[in-house]
Amino acid sequence: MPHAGPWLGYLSLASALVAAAILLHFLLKRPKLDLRAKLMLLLGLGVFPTITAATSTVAGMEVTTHRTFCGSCHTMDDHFENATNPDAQSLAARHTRNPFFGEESCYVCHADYGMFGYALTKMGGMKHVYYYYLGGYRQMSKEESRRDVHIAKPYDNRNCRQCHTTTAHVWRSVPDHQASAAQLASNRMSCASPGCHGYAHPFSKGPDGLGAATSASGHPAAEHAP
Amino acid sequence: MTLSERARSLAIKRLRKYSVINLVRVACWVALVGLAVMVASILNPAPLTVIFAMSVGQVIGIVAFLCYLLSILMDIVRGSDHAPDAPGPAKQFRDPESPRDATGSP
Repeated sequence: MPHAGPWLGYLSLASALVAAAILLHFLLKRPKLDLRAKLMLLLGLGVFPTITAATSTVAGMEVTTHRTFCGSCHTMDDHFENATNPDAQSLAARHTRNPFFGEESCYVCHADYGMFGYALTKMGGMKHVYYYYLGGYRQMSKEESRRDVHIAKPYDNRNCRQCHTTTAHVWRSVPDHQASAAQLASNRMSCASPGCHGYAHPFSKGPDGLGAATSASGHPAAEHAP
Repeated sequence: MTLSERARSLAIKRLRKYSVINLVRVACWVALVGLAVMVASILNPAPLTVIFAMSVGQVIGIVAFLCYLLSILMDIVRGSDHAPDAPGPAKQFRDPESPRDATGSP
């Protein structure tokens, strides 16, 4: 995951400002198109806009990993409020309070694990944007979204195992872990199941927080959904 | 005349027709629009502005740069005896019978 920091945004703004100054000087002062003017235009139309495009892309990609970005759609309001609630005891809230997850707690847990995880996660994010603006999610009330919006695919236990290794003695010494090791490895059982570590976002699983919520089609919420 | 020769002469004819300066000005305005879109994604990083900057904003920037490159190509085709803000053919391409002075030099 990128950690470019805010300086990248400042660099992007600075290069855009320099490019705009060059272009506006050419448009308003109308200097003679000699070699000097052509070289200045090469900077204003080529070099500085390229720097702006590259830095704004990296800065933009980094912004998409922030929790506030995920919470900017109203359908995620409940998830955002629960995750940032200092008194909440859900998996999401407890992990968000962990400094390792910090401002990127949604992304750290939900990013696909693996070599192409970053790109695959961003492609999945594009689907979210499509659903929100063109798939009717934007018009949904909070209650409707809580009932009808579900995780796209069962939560992969490998995302938990990025940090919680299953090879350490402490993990293997838990009898329930030993008994369920094969099911956990094959994703037939979720770490975030009720009875194990519990749902990450329990409020989204019905009034009792135990998975009683049903989708619009009448199907129960996915057992694996954290 | 072969097809490639015909295409080449047509391309040169078109390149000579328009003013280099006008094309550079168009490139500048287009680039300013592209820069505004990219800056908007930094100042207001909402989902749509970020996606818009990474797709449309960059395409606009590329179009502006291509306009600039085209203007350089036009300048080369016209030659050094032809002012960049003058429309029409350069001296070396002009019809010797034509009474019009199309150099446009001040």
